[in-house]
Amino acid sequence: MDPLIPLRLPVTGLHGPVYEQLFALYLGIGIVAALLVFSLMAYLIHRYRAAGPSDVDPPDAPRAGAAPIERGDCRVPLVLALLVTLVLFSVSLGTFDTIALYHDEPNDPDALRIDVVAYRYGFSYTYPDGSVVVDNLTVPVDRTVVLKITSTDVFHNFAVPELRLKADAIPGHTTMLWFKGDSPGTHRIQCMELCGTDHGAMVGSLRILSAPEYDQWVARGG
Amino acid sequence: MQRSARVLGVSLLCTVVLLVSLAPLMSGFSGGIGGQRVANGCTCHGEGGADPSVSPLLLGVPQTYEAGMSYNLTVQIQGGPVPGGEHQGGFNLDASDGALLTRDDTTQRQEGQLTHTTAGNGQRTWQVAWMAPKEEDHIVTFRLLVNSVDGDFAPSSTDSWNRATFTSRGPGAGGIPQPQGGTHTPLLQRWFPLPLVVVLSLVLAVLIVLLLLPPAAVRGPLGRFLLHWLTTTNHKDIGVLYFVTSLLMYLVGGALAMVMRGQLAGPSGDLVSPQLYNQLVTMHGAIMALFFLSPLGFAFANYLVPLQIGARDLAFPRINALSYWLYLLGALVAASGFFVGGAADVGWTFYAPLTNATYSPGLGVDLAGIGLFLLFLSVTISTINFLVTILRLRAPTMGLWQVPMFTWSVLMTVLIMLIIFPALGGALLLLVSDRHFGTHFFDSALNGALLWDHLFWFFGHPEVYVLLLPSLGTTAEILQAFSRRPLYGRRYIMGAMVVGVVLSVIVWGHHMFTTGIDQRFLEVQVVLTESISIPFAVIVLCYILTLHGGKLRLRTPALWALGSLALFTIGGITGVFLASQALDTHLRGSYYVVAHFHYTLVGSTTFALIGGIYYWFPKMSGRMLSERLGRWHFGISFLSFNLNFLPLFELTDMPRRIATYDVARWVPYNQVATVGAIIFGVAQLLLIVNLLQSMRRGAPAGKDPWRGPSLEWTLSSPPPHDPSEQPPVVVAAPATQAVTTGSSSDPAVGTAKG
Ligand SMILES: [Cu+2]
Ligand SMILES: [Cu+2]
Repeated sequence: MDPLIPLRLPVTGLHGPVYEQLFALYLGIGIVAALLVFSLMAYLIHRYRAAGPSDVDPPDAPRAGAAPIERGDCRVPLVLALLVTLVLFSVSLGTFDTIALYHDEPNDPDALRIDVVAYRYGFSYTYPDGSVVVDNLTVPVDRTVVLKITSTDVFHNFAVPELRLKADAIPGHTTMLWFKGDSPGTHRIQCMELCGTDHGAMVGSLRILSAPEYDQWVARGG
Repeated sequence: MQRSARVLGVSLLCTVVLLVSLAPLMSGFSGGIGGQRVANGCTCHGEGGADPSVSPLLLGVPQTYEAGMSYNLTVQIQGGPVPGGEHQGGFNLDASDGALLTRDDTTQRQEGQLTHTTAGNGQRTWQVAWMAPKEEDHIVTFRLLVNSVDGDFAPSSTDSWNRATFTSRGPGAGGIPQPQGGTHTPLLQRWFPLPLVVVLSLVLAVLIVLLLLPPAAVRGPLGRFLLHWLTTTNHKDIGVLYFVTSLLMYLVGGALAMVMRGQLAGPSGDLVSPQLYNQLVTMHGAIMALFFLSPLGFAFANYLVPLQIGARDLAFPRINALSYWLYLLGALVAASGFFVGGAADVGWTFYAPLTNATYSPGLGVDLAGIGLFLLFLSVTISTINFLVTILRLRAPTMGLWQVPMFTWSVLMTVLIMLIIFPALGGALLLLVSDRHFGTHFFDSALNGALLWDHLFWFFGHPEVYVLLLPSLGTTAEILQAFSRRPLYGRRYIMGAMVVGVVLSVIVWGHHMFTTGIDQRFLEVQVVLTESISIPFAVIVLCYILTLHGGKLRLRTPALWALGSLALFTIGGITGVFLASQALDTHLRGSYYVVAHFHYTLVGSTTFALIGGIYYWFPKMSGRMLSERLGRWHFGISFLSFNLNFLPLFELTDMPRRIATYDVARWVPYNQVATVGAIIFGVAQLLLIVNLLQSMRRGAPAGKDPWRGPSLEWTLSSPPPHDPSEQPPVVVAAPATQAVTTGSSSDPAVGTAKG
């Protein structure tokens, strides 16, 4: 296989690394939890396997039609529940910090505010000066960009996976997404909600330009 | 008396079937405005059907206009033939209010409408202007027709035209908006359902003849066979009907999946068109979740719940039969879209407004909607049936907390169904009403897209637990039988299921994390969704602890049950990621989600229910299944399932429901997944072979081949068709004695007579 094809999804932007950190936390705890469960299962299967078809049953083996027998220490399920709860709520602390980062619109007077309108099958971008560009969004590096996203027809979704960004584009409703590019580059934008026949082709790109290049681009009239 | 009841029933059924089969015709009779003055987008060309690959765009239409203001609009054509050459496209734009104006010589006014000029023939974008009406309270509808031309203007070249409507509302426009432009269904398509009507009428004719004849008049083995299976109300027969139908659905849904995975094996697969791919995606989801998994669980529920609680039958046997026939009819109607111009292609989530008459004018959405509505009827009456049966018809000495785990899980399942299916039924009625009677429940201007989201996911999320719970009950039965020990913490598992049921109906908001609705609601949903893993983690761990101190026998059912627990662990843990709104902001709508829910719905649920087949088939048929084939079936399925879905967790940037792609990184993952899927698909045929072979020459099973825990194993295999004697009754063992002494004294089994 071509060694140039990256097997992992690249990550960039302001949110990208924060997202990846949170993901790594979840993944680490998830893998430990899964390994614990699997080893417990493997151990019990190995340890308590019947020697053969004629192996003697335990005394409380189930019998057809017998009333169910209650078994087990009631503290075990409770401790388990408590343990799972603790783990979940410790990871969700990290989640709430990251949610705040995504959700709280930055109070940056210098922010570039762009209206995004999704349609079948593309995105149009209206800049503060009223100029409209379709498909490719061009922004300067290191500047806060605030997107107000809506749709003219059906439910779409505006996603920039390499920046770990995503928001629904819903007709009759506006969603907000903000980001800051940390290096010049081009990233894939795509629709991630089934919106019709050419949903798979509803792709554009995000161009992050250095400040002088961006000014040139604006001067050329977008 | 009985005869008149039968006549009444048959005529009722006929009416339902006729109405159902005629309903799609209504989509042909649109009562909308506009679209009549101009036949298609460009009068220079001939007529033809709308081409869905062409999208008319009108950019710059304000959502709310300012009275008297002038707006610059851009007409644009997306899609259609590859442009080049002199003739590229044309358009016709009509506004119901205000004035349309030209801005250059590429457009012209004709009877108040705007269209392109000869000078504007060579382009696909036109700049026009619109003066908003002076009144503040109007709702303006723009109707845009565009024609995409391939450039050479040959007389032979076909038209690729399409239409779209756009609206702008005045700041004072309240109340009910005016109807938008109606749909235009080509005449031919109106009568497409005709074959369906003919087939259904034939089936009906046979039914009527069979049912109205006095039973003695039906002769011959085929006639008797048909009469028996069509009229049976016996819970075991209905269970068998559900069993056979759901297995057929498994094969159909699986075949659709094979085509999809084949299409995705390479970046630009051309096995199917994007249109057909979207139909496959939709029907695969609907069939597997609603017409395979749930009915397979209910096949066991029908067959076993009465046996497990010592009842003679379900509380309402006739309603039970009706429930099955409604389910079958629903499945047929939903899938029939494939034969009448295209099945639903909007995803099984049916997101508004993609489902409305403008964006989905075809019959597919109607048929799927009607199919699901029939399923809703089926489920609702079935729910009542099982609730009454489990709560009222238990053997006299069996307390509610003593029912076998499978029965308990069915009780939990029907409780969820009772709560959620009305939301689906209501939402479907509103959708059909929007599509055909011009109502505006899911109108975007009234935030209809979000309304659908809430209604659908209020049903859709708990539905996952509807699928999951019977399989958890099945696993519990299997684990007890094969580990030779009672369930660990049985009462706590039962309690955890109750907690799971309650939580399941209040966490639907995690499907709306990226919709930008009130963040306070969403943050509550984060916590609730995380909490739901607590009861299920307890259940899984208690299941595993059941093995402790046992004498585990790894027969085929046990393999499937343990495999299901392992895969459920992965599905559950990856689900916790999605419960985090922050992580969901990247993962939503991607193949990560696809991988996650296939781990829960295939890995966990389907594996456990297949374990249930290996476990209970000997009881149902009286014959054993081949252990060797069963082991192969499990081994191959387990490996190929992981091969299929484990790599997909990495594709967090690949959107679901796309037919082609152009990202090199996605190719290897998709190829591995396709290989896994095909092996998995072929392996499922081993089950069918095993079932058929066992029915012909399987070893006799005897009463209790696995020494299972609950009442069904005290009966002969298969159990007597009509229980003539009093059903067996559990005699409760004193709990303390059973737990602590572990003495070999049998908790007694007897009959009510004895
Ligand atoms: Cu899309
Ligand atoms: Cu959910």
